[in-house]
Amino acid sequence: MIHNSLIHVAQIIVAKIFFAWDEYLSFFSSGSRWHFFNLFWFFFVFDVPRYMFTDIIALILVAVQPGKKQKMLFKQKLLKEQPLVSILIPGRNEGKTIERCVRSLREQTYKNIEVVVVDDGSDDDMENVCKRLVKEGYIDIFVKNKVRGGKASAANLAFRRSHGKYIIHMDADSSLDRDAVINILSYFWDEQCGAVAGNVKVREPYVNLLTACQGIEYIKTISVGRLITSHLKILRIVSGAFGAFRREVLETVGGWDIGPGLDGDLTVKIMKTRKHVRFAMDAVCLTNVPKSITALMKQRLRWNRSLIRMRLRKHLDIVAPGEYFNPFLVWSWYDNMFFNVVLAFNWLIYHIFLMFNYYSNIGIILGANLILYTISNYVQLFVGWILSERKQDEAGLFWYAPLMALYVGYFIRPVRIIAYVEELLFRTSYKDLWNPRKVSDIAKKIGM
Amino acid sequence: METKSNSLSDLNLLVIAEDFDIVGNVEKGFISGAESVEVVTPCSRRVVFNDKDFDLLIAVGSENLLTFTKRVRSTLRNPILPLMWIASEESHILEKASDIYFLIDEENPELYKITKKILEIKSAVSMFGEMDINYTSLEVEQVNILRYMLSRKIMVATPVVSEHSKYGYIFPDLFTIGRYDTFSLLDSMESEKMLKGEFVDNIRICKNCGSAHIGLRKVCPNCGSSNIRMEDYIHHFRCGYLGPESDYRVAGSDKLICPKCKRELKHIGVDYDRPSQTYICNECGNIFEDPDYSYICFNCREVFKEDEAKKFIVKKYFITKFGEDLAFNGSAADVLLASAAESDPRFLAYDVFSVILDHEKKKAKRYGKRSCLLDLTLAVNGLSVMDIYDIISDTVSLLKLNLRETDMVSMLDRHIFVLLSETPCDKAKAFLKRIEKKLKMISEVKNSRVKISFELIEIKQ
Ligand SMILES: [Zn+2]
Ligand SMILES: [Zn+2]
Ligand SMILES: [Zn+2]
Repeated sequence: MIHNSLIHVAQIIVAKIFFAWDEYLSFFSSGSRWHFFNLFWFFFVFDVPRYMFTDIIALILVAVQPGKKQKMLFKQKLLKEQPLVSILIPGRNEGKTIERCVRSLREQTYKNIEVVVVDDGSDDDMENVCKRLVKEGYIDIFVKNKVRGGKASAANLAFRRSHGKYIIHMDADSSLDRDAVINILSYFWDEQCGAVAGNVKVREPYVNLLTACQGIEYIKTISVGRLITSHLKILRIVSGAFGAFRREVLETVGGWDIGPGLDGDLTVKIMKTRKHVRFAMDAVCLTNVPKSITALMKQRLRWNRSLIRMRLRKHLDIVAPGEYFNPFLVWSWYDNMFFNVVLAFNWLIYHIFLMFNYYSNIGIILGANLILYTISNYVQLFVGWILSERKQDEAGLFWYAPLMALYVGYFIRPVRIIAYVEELLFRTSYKDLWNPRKVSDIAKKIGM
Repeated sequence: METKSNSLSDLNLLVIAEDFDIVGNVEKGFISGAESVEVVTPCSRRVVFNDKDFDLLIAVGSENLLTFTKRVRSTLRNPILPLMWIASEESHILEKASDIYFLIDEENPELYKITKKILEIKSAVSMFGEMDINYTSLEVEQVNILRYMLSRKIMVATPVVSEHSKYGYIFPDLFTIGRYDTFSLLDSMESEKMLKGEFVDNIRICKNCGSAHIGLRKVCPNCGSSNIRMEDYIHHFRCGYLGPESDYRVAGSDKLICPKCKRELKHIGVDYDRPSQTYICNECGNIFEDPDYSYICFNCREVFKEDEAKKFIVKKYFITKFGEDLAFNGSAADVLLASAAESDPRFLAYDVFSVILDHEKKKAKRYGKRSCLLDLTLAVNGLSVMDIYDIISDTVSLLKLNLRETDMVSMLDRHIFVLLSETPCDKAKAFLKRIEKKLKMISEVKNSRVKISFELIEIKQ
């Protein structure tokens, strides 16, 4: 009896699934090709070329490795001549993280390093920790600002106090692979290269679903995405977590201007001097990422607000022909604006479009979208993984790839839209406590 | 020594003066009646006076003469003789360093007071026994310091600060006594347990010459120059530049101009603030938070880092019981003998012992009694008084345990004599065998630099 009823239930379930699938297929096959495109135009117009094609280019680039020989020769030259490299670490309330950071610098295969730490008015034990690390020889120069001045001023002070021919900027909550410094420097074989962005990865991607998603996101956008934009010379950001600069280039552009978004801002300033910026896939930096939804949201709101502030307000002049005209910079500007701002709003429009036109089938369409994106995400993650130097650690991320479609589509993009709207309408970034009040006030007044 | 109560006559005087003129200023009659007067000045060719005993040392002059006085005194056969200081200017150090002190233009103190003081010291000195002839010159110095302190009733030698001293401190009481550096001499006496030191100060001295006259300076960690200045950091809010104030200074103007954005900084708190300060070197331009500290020695010009300075512990010193005994007895053996005799009637002073030994010989002659004399000889090489004391003391304890009631012990210099009364030679040998192994153990402790040899003498006929 029981046996029979169980079989019956199973039959019903199978039938239901079959019916649903049938309905699904009939929905898509009922129309023309145009109809199909109409449903998923967003995916095919924007995401397929953006990610799938670039991945293929990335693979080719890594296989061909343009400039490989020059890079090798330059690396040997560096090791022989050992020019001083200053590593700037401005930070605030980083008492817990700074030690791991500077210890990873001691382990570098490149030895002629000067570590400059600026404590920007911390109220934790950062000062004591740093003073001990100075005594232990991990930090060469340590400056404590009693009054907080903001990240830009701390970075500028660290730069003012440094002596190196090359300058590396990193965050206190990041740490480096043993060969990261020599690898990032080797890209300066190209005389025209003014700055090099390091390969920033998530230190602990397996803490929760959110960190896993960020782990995949960093591999996709930072590792793979930047590899291509770098070769196209339209890399738009040298991350503050790990980036290298020529001293004279930083001097020319006057170091860091007040943030938020000072990393991207500095990159633009460097490109305005007609130098270009490269991405060092093989210079790996591990960084801490937000572990909670609210912290992540706060971080992304700040990043996205600063995009509006920097690209649309401060550096709008790059699109106008004039003193700074640099076709790559213009391209990078459009690329940036398009894929962040335009796409985000388009994503919203796409949903509204579906609501009006396919309201009754919206569930099916969005579900199909998720499947398409998941396939795409697997391809991208696979490419990133193929290129990765820590395949074993990152293999576990494949389990989390199905979440990415939801993460990007219904978290990252909505947050972007909120940030853009807020910033465009209310200039919210000027109220961000990330900068001290006195600095924000000035910035707002002068419209920067 | 015959001394009339109201004159310096019959005394042999040694006068130390800055120059001969100043001696003339001292009232002629004051020293004219003396048996002999010799005058020495820092310019004199002859400064060694070990050919005769002087009764009184007279120094005429200021503190400048102190070191010279110490030098002359150290050449004397009896360096702990009384010192009278006729001071050309008032000085607490001179007052402490001498036995009789008065100012040159003061009325002379009454003669009987002077002679009384001289007699006091003389009688105290006469209490001290002969000094061990085996002593090195350092050991002689050590005993002299002890004797000087005891004869002047200086129970504790206390250092006081003085700019004239290498270590910044002097022992005014002991200033003119001793050939060696007083600090190292007293230190050696403490390790020999003649004195007990007590902490007074912990100072830093030159790593090169040991002088305490060193100056501490803040210097640039890069070039070591003390030519450094402090400067505020200035943060320009508008452009985020942050650097030392001099970055913002333009020659011939009071204005602050930002080096990055070339704007003028007009209002603190609005345009800029000063978040912290830094040091800048005027010589090499180095910017630094923590200056190095370095010393310069005003004596030898050596420049060295703060942590390279040597530590120097200044102490005050008390005489120990051992030190006191040593001073009176003049040798470590006598000290032990004296203390052993206090608790054990078998231990005898050598003069008493020699009487008994004579008596024993007579008995042997008369009654044919046979006794034996054991002569233990310590051969010590380069051992300190304290080490010798330890060895003798161990030997004494060993004997105390093994001797019979009727046996007797005495010591002279490096010999320990044991009289084994009414003991024939073969029994004495058996006794010797019993203690031989233990004696060997005692002699082995101080790195085998001691050898205890023994000789058995049969007293007969
Ligand atoms: Zn010196
Ligand atoms: Zn200097
Ligand atoms: Zn400025």
